[in-house]
Amino acid sequence: MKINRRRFNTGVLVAMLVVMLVWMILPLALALLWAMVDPDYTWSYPDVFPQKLSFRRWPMLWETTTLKQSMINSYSLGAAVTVMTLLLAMPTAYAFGRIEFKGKNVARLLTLLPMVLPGFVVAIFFSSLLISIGVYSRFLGIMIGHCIVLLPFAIRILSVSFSQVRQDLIDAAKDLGAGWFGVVRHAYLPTIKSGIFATLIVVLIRSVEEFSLAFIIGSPDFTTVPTILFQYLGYAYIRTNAAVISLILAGPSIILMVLLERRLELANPAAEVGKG
Amino acid sequence: MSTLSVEAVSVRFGDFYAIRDVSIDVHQGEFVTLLGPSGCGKTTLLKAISGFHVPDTGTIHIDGVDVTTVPPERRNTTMCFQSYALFPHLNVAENIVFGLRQQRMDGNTRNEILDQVVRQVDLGTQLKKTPNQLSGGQQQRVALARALAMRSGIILFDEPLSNLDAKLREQVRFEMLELQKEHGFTAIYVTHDQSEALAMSDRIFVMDQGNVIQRGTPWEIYQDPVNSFVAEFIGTANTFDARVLDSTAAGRYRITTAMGELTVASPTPPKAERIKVCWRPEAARLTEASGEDNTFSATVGLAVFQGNLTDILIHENEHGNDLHHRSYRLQIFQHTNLSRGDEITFRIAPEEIRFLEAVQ
Amino acid sequence: MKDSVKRSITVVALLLPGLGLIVGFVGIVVVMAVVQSLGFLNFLGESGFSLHFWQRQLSNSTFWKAFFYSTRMAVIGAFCSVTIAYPIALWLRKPFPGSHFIASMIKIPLLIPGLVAAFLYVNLISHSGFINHGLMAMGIIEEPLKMRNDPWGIGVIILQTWKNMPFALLLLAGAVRAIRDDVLDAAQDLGANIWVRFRRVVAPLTLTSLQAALAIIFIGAAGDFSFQVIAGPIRLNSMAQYMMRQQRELGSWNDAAVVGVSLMVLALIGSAVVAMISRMIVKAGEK
Repeated sequence: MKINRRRFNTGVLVAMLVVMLVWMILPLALALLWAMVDPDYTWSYPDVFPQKLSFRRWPMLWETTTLKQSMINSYSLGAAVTVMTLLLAMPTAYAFGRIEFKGKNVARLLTLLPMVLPGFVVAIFFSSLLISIGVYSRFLGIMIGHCIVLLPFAIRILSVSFSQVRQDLIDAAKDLGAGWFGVVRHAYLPTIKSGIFATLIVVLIRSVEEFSLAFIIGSPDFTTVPTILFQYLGYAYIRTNAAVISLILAGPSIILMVLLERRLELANPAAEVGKG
Repeated sequence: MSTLSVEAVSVRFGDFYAIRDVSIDVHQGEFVTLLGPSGCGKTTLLKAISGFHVPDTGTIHIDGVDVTTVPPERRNTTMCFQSYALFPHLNVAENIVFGLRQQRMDGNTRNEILDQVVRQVDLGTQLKKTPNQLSGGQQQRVALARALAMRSGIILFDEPLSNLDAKLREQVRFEMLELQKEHGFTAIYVTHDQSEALAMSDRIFVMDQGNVIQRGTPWEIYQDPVNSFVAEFIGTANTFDARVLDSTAAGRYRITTAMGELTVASPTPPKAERIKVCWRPEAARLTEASGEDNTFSATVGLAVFQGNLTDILIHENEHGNDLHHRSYRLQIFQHTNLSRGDEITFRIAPEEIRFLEAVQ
Repeated sequence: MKDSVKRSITVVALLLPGLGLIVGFVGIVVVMAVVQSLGFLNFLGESGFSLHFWQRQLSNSTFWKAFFYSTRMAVIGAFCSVTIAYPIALWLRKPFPGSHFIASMIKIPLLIPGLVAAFLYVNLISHSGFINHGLMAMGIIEEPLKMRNDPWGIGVIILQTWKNMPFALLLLAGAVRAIRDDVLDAAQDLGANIWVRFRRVVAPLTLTSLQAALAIIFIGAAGDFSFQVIAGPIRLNSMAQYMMRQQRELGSWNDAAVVGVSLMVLALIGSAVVAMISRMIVKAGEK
């Protein structure tokens, strides 16, 4: 029986690995290959492999398309959004993590509101709001939008961090005569540091990846990395360019995976809903 | 009501034998305890009997039928879990009838059984509550009721009382025994608590390191431990290394120990010249006469008054600073007010001293 | 009394910049959509209360096609994701050599942006993509198949499943792992075989997570724009796509608002219905 179970597991394991290969690794590997097709050669049937591999397409794209400006836009937006979101999320996360109050569970669920509304509906009517109140700065518009749709992530990660701060440490710090600043520094900061770090990364990457708000508010003149990828995937389908930009866009996510592998569950606020 | 026969069963996890070559026979309606320290293999044996572990070697028969490879869901055994293992999404009544619904029993019979067991374990007012609304003691009762409702021939108990506080534990002990006598099921009870084992069992199987090392009634186990492990695990015992000097008469031996010379009256002869012996603390009696055999004088090292008895610790080497260096314990039931530093004279009857295993 | 008032004020003050902003923003956006759907804030023509836009859309067959298409994609997407995730969650309940590796591999799509996922898929199935090459090399087909923008929306379903299955797995695996071993052992001991254990213990105990996964995937898939535009049927619109068309191509904010409000209603009611149905199925299975 025991042996059968082990053999069964090994069998399923091998099958899963094969499926995974087709389901995840193959598409990623093909994207990489396409991003490395040399601009002077084409890759078409019946070539099994591109005739020549090079990274030449990358600097070419950088210089001849809006990629450079898009990346500047995306990352400066991301930086601003990250700082803003962190500051806005802190107080609410503190309340969720350290204070018991009536209606806390309802409040927690309410933070998920941006996630239960279809992203394009939010984007369109947010843009119509921006028009009505006369905000024409695309940067500002997208930044506000991003802050709000990413707040649930930041609040969730930070409130878990705050709840892990030990009360006896706070009490001890106060008892030993630490002022407000001392308590924050010695009791809170050591614990919430990693939460802040996780928030920064998650928010930055989600902001850079975000498509609907950036597309609707930004188009046509304010481009971000996802919006130019959409261009190359849509009416102007250029496969090699799309491959390069896909990798540029997915790259940071892979870093996210490496850095936060064990915190992924935490990084998704919707995971909270499942906890009955 | 069923019989159980475990023959030469071993369960192995990798290279580690959790139980090795264990054989036990249990009669109909008997209450037996598997007693031993944690890691001795008692729970593994219980899980082999219930079907959760398939033995690597050996066979298990219930009522004469070989069930060695029959899965738990098709065995005539029911388990009462240490953690109670109640279904958190079901209320008390649904928990109790969970197994009955598997048996496609008609609703009326099911309700009759439910009524009966609920009355027996006194849960009448809790039927609609879910497990997390119940106290630990109530949860324990639900677990018991759920097992009783199955009407299995054998009910297996995996330390069912270990999560209750001391007072409740004693109360439930008696209730469980009464239920067992009333229902007549065969009970196999795993515990590491020797007082529980002594109080409840018809027979005890003492286990250590994957083996059954002694089997017998509580009386036999307590009176005639086979070795120092059993002697010290069940009750308390003063054990000494001894050398057998000679035999003065049939069944009477003179031995020498760290305490001095002693006379032992034992129907079984010692297994070796150098042997371990033991006597129970309550075997010591204060005496005036000092000439008799097995009589010793000593200074009270520590006296703890317990009400009905006084626990006394005597340090062999009075000048030693190490408390544990060599000390033994007396329990004096006589009414004497004793305190540290008092000189006492006590006697151990030769019949109270037991030969154990040979000194290695 | 005074203390508790002070405390409440503190809590409210703390919640304001985070939760307050979220609720305010979402509230305003929803109100904007509703108001515009009723004819106000018409950026092109005359503003004022009118049910004209609702009448126009609700009697438009393209609207209803989009509505039912989005519903269908959302239901199938949620169902496929959960159906694949459930057995994997059960399989990974107990750690074994290699299980951790598999678990982190499966999570990859969670980290891949939707647009990139769409590219990966299109790249695989396009005219000169890997699948066509492979099939041609094996001599199964002679001409490349046209798989992109298939008329049944299979591409969209594959993408939805690819992206959302790991999310469903995340929720379900957590719930399945939270079931204690001895509870399952007890069920088995009481006569439940593996199928009964699933129906009567595992499914009811993971119901909340199942419902959450279904509802959230449903909402996401119902509001999908990018997968549909890149890989979906050309002759059909998803609700988000149709809404965008009203606004971008026809310039009618008010018509777009009608579609937007309908989409929100679809998302809310649809996810609730999906959650309810899953509950009914689980409850029926428990019997």
